[in-house]
Amino acid sequence: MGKEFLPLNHADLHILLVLADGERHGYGIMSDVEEITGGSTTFGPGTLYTSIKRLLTSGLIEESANRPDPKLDDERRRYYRLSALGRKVLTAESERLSVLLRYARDHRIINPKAI
Amino acid sequence: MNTLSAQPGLWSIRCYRWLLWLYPSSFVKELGDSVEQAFRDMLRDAYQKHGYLGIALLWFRIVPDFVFSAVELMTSAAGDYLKWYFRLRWVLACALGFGAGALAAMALRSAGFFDYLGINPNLGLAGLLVWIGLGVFQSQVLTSQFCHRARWVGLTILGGVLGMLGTRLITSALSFLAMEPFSPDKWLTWTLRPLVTLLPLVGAAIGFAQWFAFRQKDVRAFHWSLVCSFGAYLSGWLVLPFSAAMTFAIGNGFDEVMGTVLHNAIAGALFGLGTAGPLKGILWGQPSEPEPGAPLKSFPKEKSA
Repeated sequence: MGKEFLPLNHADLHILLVLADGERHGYGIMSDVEEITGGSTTFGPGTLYTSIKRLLTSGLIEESANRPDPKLDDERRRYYRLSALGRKVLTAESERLSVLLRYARDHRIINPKAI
Repeated sequence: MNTLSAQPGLWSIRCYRWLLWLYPSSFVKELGDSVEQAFRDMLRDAYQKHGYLGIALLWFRIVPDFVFSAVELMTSAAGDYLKWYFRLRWVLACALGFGAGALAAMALRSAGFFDYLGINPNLGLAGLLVWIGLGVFQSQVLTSQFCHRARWVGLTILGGVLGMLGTRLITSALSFLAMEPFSPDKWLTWTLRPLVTLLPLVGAAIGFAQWFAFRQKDVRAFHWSLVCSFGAYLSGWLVLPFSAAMTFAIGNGFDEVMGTVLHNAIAGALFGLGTAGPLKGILWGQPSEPEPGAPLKSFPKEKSA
């Protein structure tokens, strides 16, 4: 189940990866993507929310009902989380990519020690 | 200077709001506030790190981001337009199929083809030409992406012929049993006029046969048969005023061929109107896209990480 969504596009994969770690708001997702990729991948708000809309529509993520404490953050912020389907799709995509990585490593396209 | 009250910050926010208006309105309505909020966050960080230079550099990132995301959203909106365009093409295809079939039948009859073969054109051969026309034109709209084209045409003909044979069998059986619920002296003649020709049965037979040509396995035979049956029934009802108008026009000197073709084309268009929406739902509606602002589908609860 979920294989019909594969392969995920670049932005969708990054968003799902970040949300696998817990709920995030839009800017939180952007910051975390930048952090986990060492700054090599950055999104603008347009790209981010275009992907979020697509992921919401396809049911891979869902909006959380939780709102931040008004004293700590803007309570109008929307938080997103991975759905059960989204988690399955993320797992399937990660496995698909790991097969490609293994091939690249076996054929010395990348340094075997790099992984 | 670490707040955004500075002019460049305020102007940036104002400019970004203007840009947002260029996105499709449904997107702005649904997520516009969140997009602006993310921009404000980015602007604040950029300003805190690099001051005015940070704001200037941020715009080098924002403009391409805006252009690419707007193009993606607009082409997606164009996809929605194409779905409407699909309905229009489907209605036209059904109209042309019925019309062209009728025209071919009239042409063959005028050329004495039926007489030459020694067959009565009312026994179904004229109908056969209509099913050929319908199948050919419909398959052009569906393209090979959604159906096996040749198979679609063949199965439409088969379904139409089987449907006509079925109706003939039923009317023969009713006559044999001396039951004539649709005879002219019965009030049912008018109220159940579409049932006289048992059009829903023909529609259901065509739908069931066409189901075998769909590429998508999740199209249910029963659903598509029901849709075609309903389309035929609707067409049978709504075409009645046009039938009366054409009969009157032909009786008053209007060209018979033109009148018959026009009448069939209208019947085909009505059939297309009745089936286009459900067909669009079948081809594009899985998973169905919720309306903007509609509650999201509920999925099993996920453990919060």
